[in-house]
Amino acid sequence: MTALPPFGARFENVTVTYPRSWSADANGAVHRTPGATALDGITCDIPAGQITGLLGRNGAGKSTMLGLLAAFRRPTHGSVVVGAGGDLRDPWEDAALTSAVQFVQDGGDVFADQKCADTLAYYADLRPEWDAGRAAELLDLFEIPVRKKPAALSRGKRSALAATIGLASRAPLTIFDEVYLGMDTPTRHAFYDALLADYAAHPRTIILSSHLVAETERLFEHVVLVDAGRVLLAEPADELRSRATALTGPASAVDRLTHGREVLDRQELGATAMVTVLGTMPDDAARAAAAEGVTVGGVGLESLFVHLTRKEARR
Amino acid sequence: MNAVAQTLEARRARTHRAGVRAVERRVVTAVRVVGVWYWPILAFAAVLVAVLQWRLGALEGSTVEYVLGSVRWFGFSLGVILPMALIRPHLAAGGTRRALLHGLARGAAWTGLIFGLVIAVLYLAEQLVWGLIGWDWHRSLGISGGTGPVTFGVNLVGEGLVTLIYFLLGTAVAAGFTRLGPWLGLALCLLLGIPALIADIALYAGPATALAEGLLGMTGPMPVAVSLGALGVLAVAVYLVVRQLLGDLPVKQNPA
Repeated sequence: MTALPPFGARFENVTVTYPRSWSADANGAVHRTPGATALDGITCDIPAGQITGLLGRNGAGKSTMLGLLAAFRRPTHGSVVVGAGGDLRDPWEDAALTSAVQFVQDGGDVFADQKCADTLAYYADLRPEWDAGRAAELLDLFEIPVRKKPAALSRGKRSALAATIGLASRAPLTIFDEVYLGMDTPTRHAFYDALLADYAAHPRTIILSSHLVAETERLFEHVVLVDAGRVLLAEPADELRSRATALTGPASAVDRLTHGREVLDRQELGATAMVTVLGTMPDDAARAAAAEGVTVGGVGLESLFVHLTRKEARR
Repeated sequence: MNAVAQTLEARRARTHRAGVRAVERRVVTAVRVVGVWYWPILAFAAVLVAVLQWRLGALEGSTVEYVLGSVRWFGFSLGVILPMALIRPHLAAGGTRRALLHGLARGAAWTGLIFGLVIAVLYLAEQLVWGLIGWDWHRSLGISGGTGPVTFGVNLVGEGLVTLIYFLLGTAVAAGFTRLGPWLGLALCLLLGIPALIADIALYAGPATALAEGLLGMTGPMPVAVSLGALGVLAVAVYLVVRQLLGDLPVKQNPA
């Protein structure tokens, strides 16, 4: 079978409202869940062949967006299309497209009471690009006993199993939704390394939804930031990083240089201050700062993420 | 048509078939795994009840007939549990609801065939054993005659279709509750009791006696054929209900 190129995706004025429903908690008690608007008219593109970071606070609508791409549900209004080579189509109930989109959630969608091997066999049956050899390597890397049932695994191991499914699927559009939850630090880093290596060897489109912005931002080439059901921005990661500047040096000099600018973050240690401001520093201002012993540098996405999703920023 | 469109076209039917087969295998595996325990226990219960009734002088007819009362609920339970256990991994693995539906329908058909076969064998074995012992064998409900291939076939097809219907009813109930919530789901559940009732009546007493014989004046094998035909029509009707409920069922994501 001819391999499919990496998939792109587009959300066009997408709204998703959940009706009032019922849900059961861990103790089996049933509660009424009020209706809610999860996505409120979002429009954005997911570029093909890149790693896109989907960032947002809890309840921002990230999982709902990703579920639409995987045809877990339909938008209430608007359209969601995926595909390659500019030929984007609605993935709803289209086996050719759904089999090219791998949606992996925290803990994975697995057969909890059957051996891990059974779940992997199911995915292997349905996924045309499934790489059994890669799956075996990753299971070994993450030390997942395939003869055990997922229900008997720790949360970290279940997450690692989900990550294995996502990477071994080799799907043209692979989506990891908070898949690192429960993984310990070495496992998370092993996952990031494996993801990058796999991405380099088998180019595809990857969407990584994450709260751990500082830890994952090095992976991102494109960023979509959502908040309260709206897309705040969708742009290349480098462009986003250049939206803010960090100045570090003597507090008095830093304060003088940042006077009148929008401050995103400020930290002090003794006489030294590190202030993050919105926007870039002109070259002459950067030279003046250097003359006063102030270092001017870029900032991580985390500062921007925190600032842009603050309640005050929303207003 | 460009290369990507051609590739997608080529994999559409193939991935659909793969999804259908995967679901079908899951259902058949579940039936096999649970059946290994279930059927021997059922057969043992039938023997135990027969021996006890005989010792007490209360043996009046087939005991298999009574222990088989649970079979349709076993099929119903499978119909409730399996689709809900399968739907999330199935969709996450790239399957469609249509493939899930077709796989479940084929799995339900296999379940009906296996159950119908086992039930027909149990009735046949009971008749043969009772005949050897010299006891008088009869059923209070349903077809009662002989150990021939017609009786065996009627038991197989009739019980198989009823199991198939109950399996699909279980799926409809599960999808209905998921889709409609507890109150409307309950209302749907009660409504779905109607085809279950019709299935039982058609199998045991319905068209064969009241309709076919009484109203239509049918004789010979026709009443039984009408009964089995009614079950077939009912199975199709329930499948259409399941298709309606499952065909665009939204699946909730894990909360992030």
